[in-house]
Amino acid sequence: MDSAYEIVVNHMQEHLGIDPATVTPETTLEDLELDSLSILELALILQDETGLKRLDDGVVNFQTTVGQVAAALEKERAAAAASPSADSASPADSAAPGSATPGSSPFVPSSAGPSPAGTSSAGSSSVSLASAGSSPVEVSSVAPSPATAGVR
Amino acid sequence: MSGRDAVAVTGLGLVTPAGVGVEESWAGLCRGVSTAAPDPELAGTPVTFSCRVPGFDGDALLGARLSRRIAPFSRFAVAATKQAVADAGLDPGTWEPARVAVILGVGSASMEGFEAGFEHLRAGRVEALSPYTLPRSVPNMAAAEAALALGAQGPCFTVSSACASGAHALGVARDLLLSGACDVVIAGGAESGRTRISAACFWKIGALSGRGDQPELASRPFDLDRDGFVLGEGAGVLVLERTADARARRAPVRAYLAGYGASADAHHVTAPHPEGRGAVQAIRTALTDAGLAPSEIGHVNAHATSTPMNDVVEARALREVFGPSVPPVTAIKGTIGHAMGAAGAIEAASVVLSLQRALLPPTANLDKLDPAVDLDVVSTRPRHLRPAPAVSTSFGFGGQNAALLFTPA
Repeated sequence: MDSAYEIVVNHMQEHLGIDPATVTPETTLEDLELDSLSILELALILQDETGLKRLDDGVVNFQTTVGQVAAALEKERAAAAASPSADSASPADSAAPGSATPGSSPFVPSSAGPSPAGTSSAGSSSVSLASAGSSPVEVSSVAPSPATAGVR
Repeated sequence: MSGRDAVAVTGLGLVTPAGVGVEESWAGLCRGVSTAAPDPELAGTPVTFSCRVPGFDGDALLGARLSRRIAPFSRFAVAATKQAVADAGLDPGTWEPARVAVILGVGSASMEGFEAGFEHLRAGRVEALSPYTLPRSVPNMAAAEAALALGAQGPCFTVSSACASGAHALGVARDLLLSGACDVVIAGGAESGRTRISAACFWKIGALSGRGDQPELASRPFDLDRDGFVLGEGAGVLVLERTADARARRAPVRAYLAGYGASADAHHVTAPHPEGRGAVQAIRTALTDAGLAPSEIGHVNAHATSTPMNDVVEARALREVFGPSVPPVTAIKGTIGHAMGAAGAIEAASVVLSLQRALLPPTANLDKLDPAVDLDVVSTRPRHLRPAPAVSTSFGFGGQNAALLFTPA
């Protein structure tokens, strides 16, 4: 099986036309000059093509690096493999800061409660991004909601 | 400078089933061999063939990022626009962006984009809807994406009048130029109508040819055995400038857009008026606009879709306008099918090329002229002609008609 990083880069090339030679694990989506729509598109494609359900919940954002996207994907793949029903869980269940494992990038909602499953793609992208072992970093203030920015 | 040569065509761009590029398209049109072939993307619909643009490499022509973001009709629009701007010798790096307009005709929209979106809705997965579903699919994006790609900041919109959209866009563009609203107009039409929903809908109203066993014989304008049109795609783009401006910058003048007429049948949803009332009015308006008599017209590039009704009514209308002096007529849809919103612009470009090269491309598949068509239709091989003013006709569902009149440079 391709690594999560390869999957991400391949989808970026196929669907967004991004030259893999311009991408490293440290490259942020902003570095790649993706706009809010293309970031949301990427999240949806990864979610759709991999059968995973939670990647659009703000995990992917302007400041996210490609490596972090891949780590989130890897984590979801592992969770899905361990529990076939995990797909229906709410985003917060498996992404609390305390559940971080070394090398992965857990993501948690910044709002008080978990987002309702299935209604979260458009409006609930206000999430916290945490590096493994560190405090969650609030990124929603610098990253506009993917579904609203860029729409006239 | 008289009104007749006030607006010059200074550049052409073509993406057609006959080829990508003006020379490729022109060579295919002059071969006069139908490009219709089985279309796997139409599988599951009643009509599974179409005329497709061959070898269109969007990544190479537009860059991978743009090509993969936009819908097929916008890809064709941007590619043809870039060709036309280069052909006109214009440099987007040095022009005055606010004075450059982009006016394109689109008959429908990205049907395939909406089809994909509806699949998600039907499956109860609204969250999976691509954020690009709307901005890639709505018809205005052909003009918007072309303006984005070029940095053109003047008037920019899409004209929609079904199968006459490309011709109306050119007429509107000319008038914008004459009004002084801009100095350059990039105008034409773009469409990719070969989608499953399009095929099914046009089949439902009996507009499409049913020759699935011999698709290469399906598009046969004016032929006695015609049974409908063939779905096509592509884009045609012309650069228009006031002739004085074109001369001042020593631009190549390919022809003049000397006349434009538009009308409505006000008769029926899809059928033309039986006497071609609106068609006659549009052509006469274009002649009056150009200050020319019918006898001064050297050829007609006909709308001629290959539907039983259109072709016979159009023939009647041409007889009505031109009387005994009806000039030679050609119908390029026999070769490239019906590109709908792009058709009028592709045909306009074909007229300009005919005037430049003194050659009329033939009408493909015209084996037996319908006796009800009392016209001299060019068939089999290209015909030489003396460059003279020429008319292109376009008629859309809803009875929306346009006629364009070009004169030689």
